[in-house]
Amino acid sequence: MRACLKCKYLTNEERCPLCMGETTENWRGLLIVLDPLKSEIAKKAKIDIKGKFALSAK
Amino acid sequence: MIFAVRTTAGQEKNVAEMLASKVEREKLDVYSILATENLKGYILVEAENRGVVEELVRGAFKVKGIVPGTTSVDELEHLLTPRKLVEDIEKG
Ligand SMILES: [Zn+2]
Repeated sequence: MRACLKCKYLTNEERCPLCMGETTENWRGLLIVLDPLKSEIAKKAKIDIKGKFALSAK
Repeated sequence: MIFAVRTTAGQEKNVAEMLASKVEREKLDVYSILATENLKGYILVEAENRGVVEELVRGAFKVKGIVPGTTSVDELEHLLTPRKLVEDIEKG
């Protein structure tokens, strides 16, 4: 699994399917957003869509 | 509400993914699941109430229990916005 350097979306692709950003294998933390509208954690992390995200990537 | 769930150490991400699949399959009122290297042996589950989390972890592999009480999202701020920490350091 790789993480997008820009939006932290987790994907196996070399380019992020959401924002076309470059992805990296160097990521930490996992946030799975199941209901972006109801999730306070997603709001705090500034994520507004369902999906799996890294907490940090570089 | 955010609950801490105890997991087998080292299996946090696997358990998070497994539980997320269960949420989708059974349409449970779970809003997010967080696994961070800073919190070994635990994941955080955000759900409508404790009963939902109990249903979620019932019979789940590598889950050891639910911690009493809840966590507030403010306590997680430092985990969710790592860039802020860098900015603070740069400001001196
Ligand atoms: Zn992206």
